[in-house]
Amino acid sequence: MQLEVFSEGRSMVHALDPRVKILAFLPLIVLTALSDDMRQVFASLAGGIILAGIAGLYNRLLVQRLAIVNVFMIFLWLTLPFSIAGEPLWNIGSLVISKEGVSLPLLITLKANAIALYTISLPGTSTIMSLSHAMLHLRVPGKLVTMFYFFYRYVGVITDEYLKMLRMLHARGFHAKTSIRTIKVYAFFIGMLFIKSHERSERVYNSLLMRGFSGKFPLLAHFNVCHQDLFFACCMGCLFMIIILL
Amino acid sequence: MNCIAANNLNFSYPGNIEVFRDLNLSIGNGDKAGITGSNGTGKSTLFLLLMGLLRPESGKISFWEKPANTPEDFRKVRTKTGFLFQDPDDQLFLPTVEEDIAFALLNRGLPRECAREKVDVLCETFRIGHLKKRVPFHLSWGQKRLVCLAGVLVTEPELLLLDEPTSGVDAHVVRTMHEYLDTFTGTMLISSHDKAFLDRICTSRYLLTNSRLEKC
Repeated sequence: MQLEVFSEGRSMVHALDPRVKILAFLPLIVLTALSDDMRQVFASLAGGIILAGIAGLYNRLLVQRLAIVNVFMIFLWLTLPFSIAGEPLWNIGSLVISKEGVSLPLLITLKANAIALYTISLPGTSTIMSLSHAMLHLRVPGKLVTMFYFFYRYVGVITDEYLKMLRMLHARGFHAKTSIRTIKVYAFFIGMLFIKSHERSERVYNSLLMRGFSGKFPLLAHFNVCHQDLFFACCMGCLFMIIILL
Repeated sequence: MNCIAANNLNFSYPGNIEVFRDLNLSIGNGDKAGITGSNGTGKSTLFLLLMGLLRPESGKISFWEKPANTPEDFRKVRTKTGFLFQDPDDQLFLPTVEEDIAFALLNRGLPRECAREKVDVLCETFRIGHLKKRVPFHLSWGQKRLVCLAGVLVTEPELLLLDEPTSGVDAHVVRTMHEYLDTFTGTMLISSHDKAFLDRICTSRYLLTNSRLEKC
């Protein structure tokens, strides 16, 4: 599924206990998000880059995911340097680019990339199911975890239905144009997508009831914290302290 | 003793689309009954009604001579029943094949090791041991069918409802299903268009037509 594309792998990070990953992930991203010190954010980004390397995630898919994050950054770079007053850095005609106007989008870009790298390298390298299970172990309320897992499952359902219907439209010769007919077709498409997804989700739920579902997801695979997990937790603790102390 | 008895069952979908009118059905304990009928006659709907997943407008349903009226009654019946859905994608839910097969066992509180043993045995029987660690959504249709059937049979149900078990699967998968179902000793209700399959498995046949069920 789309949300689990990084979960298959044989690296050390993939093999870690998901509970350790969650416990390492949360403080790091909170610290990165709240920090406004460039050195701290650089250190955090470096940590994210190293972690993605250890997880063996340097591939086209990672670049694509980071590209999506950075598309949003383009808008910041197009507006903030010209709109924040401060010490002038360059003059482009009547427009003045300020030093503060450059450092703010740079900070946000670095933070966003660091958080994206942590998200992909830590929770992203576990299956959603094992993360859900780990959250239950970490005393996250059961209802919240069930909602999280159902959200994931039904995003998959809606995506499947969307792709199926899109292929069907193209197979029947539909080409989007700037016309009322195209708008109508898209309106039907979205309407049908929701109806089909709703009906599908009812069938999925019925099948769960038939197998005794009562709001919990017990798993065969069980978690065991091993030396590798403890070593990783120590490393992440050190990284956290380094970022704070900078 | 009757395993399933439905009396004067009436059901319509919203928009006055009548599906059943005074439908009666009785399946004896240990019977293997097949249901045929044209598309849209309500074979899948009948299974959903029997399992309490849809509510009839009127009529009575009982299992093993005990009436099932409340959601709690149906919940108890479901613990003794295995239901293979028509579309395997509706049934597969968990991230690996073995987790999916073990799901119902773990829901019933079986210890993990015990569940794992049962899953292993069934995977061997269905020759899907090599798929245990695979993501169910990425399997072929026939493989998905076998995984779903394994997920249903792992609880050793007393009653088995199979909705179009052979649709879209090859002869090899049908043979594997047939081998196992031949040894199944409980009650079975199969909805299918595959007359050859029904002839081999079932001891009685019903035809669903004009909102009613007729014995063939």
